[in-house]
Amino acid sequence: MNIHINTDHGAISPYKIFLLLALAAGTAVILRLCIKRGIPAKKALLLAVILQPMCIFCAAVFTFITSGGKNIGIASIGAAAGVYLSALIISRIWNRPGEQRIILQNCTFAMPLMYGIAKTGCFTAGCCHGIEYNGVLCVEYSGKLTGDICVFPVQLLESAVFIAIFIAGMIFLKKHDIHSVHKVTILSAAAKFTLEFLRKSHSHKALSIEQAVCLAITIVCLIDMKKKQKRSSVQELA
Amino acid sequence: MKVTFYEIQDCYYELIDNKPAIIAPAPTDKELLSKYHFIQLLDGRWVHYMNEFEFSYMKHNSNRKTVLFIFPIENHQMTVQQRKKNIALIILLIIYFLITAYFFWLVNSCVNDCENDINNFPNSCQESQE
Repeated sequence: MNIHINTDHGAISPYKIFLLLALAAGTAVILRLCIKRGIPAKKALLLAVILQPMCIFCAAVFTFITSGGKNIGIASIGAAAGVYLSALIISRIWNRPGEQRIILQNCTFAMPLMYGIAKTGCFTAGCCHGIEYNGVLCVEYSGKLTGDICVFPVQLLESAVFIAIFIAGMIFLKKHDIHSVHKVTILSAAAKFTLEFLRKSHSHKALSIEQAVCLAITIVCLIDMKKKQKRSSVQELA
Repeated sequence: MKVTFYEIQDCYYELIDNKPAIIAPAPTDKELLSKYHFIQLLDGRWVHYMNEFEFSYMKHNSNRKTVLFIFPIENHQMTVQQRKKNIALIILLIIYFLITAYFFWLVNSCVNDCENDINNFPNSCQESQE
């Protein structure tokens, strides 16, 4: 059972639609969580306004830098940096203690959803495609962008995994798990690190830039989680 | 020591991440929590991180069984410094938007030039075509 995709799209590109959908869904989740957790509505709305252009801008700057000034494209790590940068900027306006942390946490919860939806867009466009593969559910791309290739549906797998991580994050939050942010971050970084090996662009590379960033994030998160656990057990003893 | 924070009774004081905070009791009206700038932590508790004024008031009354916060909250005026910071950040945002707009124009130019095979953009377009 194969999937056939022609990457020569008409006037409306499904890739752009999914990208905008990802931004809209992420913005909606962040907005909802912010208001629910006590962030003033006008601050949350300002964050929602700045989020989308900041994501695209930082994603473009990231690819510009990593390609050595040769290309401008969209990269997930850059977009993630854009989300956090918007959160940091907004939390400094009408600053109240504690709000910055809440906003950053809410951005972390929304990220896997944004990434999952955006990857579906990548699937329709044929970019970030998987390694050569002829098994079940192989994706047969045709068109100017990819040529005729048969590859592993890594984008679909990523989409499913990250949407599952988002749902898990919402469940952790509902259960008031104090390590929910750490868990979502570690799961997302680990998933991105692992699935990167199934991508064609990863061939002939030991470790990509994205994988190195994911590894660093996982290590930092684990250390922070251990510190937090130690701190709370010391407080309990006191 | 108990704290009555304006209309919210039976609050208690706690140091959270080394910041003095007032924790609201469990079933408190969400509107009241929003009115007095309480935020929800991951563990579900609603906290209000105290500013310098509130903390010094608390310290001054720490010998009492219950500390009452009764002065009007509107008296907490934004400092001149905070106002200047806000203006600086908003100006920064406007500059950022202008740079982003220029960037988008740049990207679109590159895409159009590549499609029409016009040679008026730096090397990046030509190399990506090759």
